[in-house]
Amino acid sequence: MDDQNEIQDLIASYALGSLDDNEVAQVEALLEKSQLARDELASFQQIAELMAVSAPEMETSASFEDRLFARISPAEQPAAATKTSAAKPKPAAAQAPTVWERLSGFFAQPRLQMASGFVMAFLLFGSGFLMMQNLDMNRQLAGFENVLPTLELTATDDSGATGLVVLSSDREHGTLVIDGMAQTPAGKEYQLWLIKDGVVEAGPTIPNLNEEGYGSRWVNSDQPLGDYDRFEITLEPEGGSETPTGMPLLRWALNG
Amino acid sequence: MEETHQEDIQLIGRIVQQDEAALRRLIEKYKTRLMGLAFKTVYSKELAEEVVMDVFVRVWEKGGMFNAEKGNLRGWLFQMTRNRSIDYLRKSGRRVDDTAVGWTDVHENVIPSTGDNPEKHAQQKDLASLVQSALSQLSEDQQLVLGLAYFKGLSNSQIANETGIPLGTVKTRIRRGMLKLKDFLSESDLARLA
Repeated sequence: MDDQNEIQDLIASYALGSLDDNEVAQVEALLEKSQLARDELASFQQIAELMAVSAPEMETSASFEDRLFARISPAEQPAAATKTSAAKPKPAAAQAPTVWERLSGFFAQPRLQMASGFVMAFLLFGSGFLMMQNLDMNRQLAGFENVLPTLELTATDDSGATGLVVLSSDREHGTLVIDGMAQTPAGKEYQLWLIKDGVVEAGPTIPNLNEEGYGSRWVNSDQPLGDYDRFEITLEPEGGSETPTGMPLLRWALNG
Repeated sequence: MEETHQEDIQLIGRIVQQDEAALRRLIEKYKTRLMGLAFKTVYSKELAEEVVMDVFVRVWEKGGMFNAEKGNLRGWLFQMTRNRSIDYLRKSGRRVDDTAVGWTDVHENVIPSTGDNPEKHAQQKDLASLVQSALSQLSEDQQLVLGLAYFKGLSNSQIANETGIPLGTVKTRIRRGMLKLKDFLSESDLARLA
């Protein structure tokens, strides 16, 4: 087989999402530098979409829509009755809870309060400050946004995705939280990159996003997180890469 | 098709504004096709319905993430449905040979949809027939590897393990199968499907 056919093999399988991780990286590197490869991919992607069209149509059950609208119109939102397009525009992303709201909500779950207590105690004061145990956890959680240094990652496009790195009080370690990310294709994961003076270090991947594109991960590094001048999130092969192969999707930079 | 594309853009714009009527219209327009796609992967009507429900809930909550410059809404819906279906299939722990992979298999659960617009339905059926006709021109081996890759979410090496076909042959069959499909469909056919 000649090289051209081998490359076409890889691009065709890439369009179907059936490549193994190392091959995905190989194809994406090629796509970055070759317009011909990008054109080939577009062509194969068009064919891939045909697969979906080939599936025979199938009816839903009679209760499908009722159950669906019960899910999207919870009791606490009576205003969810039909609105018209004349209603004041309100982007979906603006209605979604913020990362902070979701983070606070997560830690405020009763079954997680004990666990969150340990996490917060570690993050805020270290193991020597056990007085945390005597304080009202909810009150502290509500205020911890103002206590811990945070770095906000913003989307490089209009996806509405957001990210946050919550640093420990000594800025040595932190927790990465991302939200509103697109679901990852099979064999892919989001990965954090830590950058200082142009040197890029691989951070952790975030393997388990929920349905709303929300996930979190503890971040540790050889040098204090607070010393880096840029953080970026890219889409990488499952398990992570040593150097970024995807385009930055979220970014925080020291100088904006 | 352009008319459909324009309607989709309008619908998603209204859905971002939390317009339930627009979501109902989108559901009416795509639910049977997404159900068919999900069913081809999970091979269970109940699970397929869960998948499609998840997709529409996500559209309602995250419709603002759709970017018309990167593709059409139908493709976005297909992609979400396929990804979600494969997730469900993996979580269910079922083996691939427990589920169907044939392209033209007819199941008792598959109910021909009539929809609310006979003309549109006829057009969609025409599209499906066109693609199925093209698929039927592929060899059984090509159909098998394409079906396992697309509907079951298997990697090339997994396909090789499942079927005993050498890895290099799997890759070549995928490429040749896709090129053959393209050859069978004219540019105008592809434009109709775009």
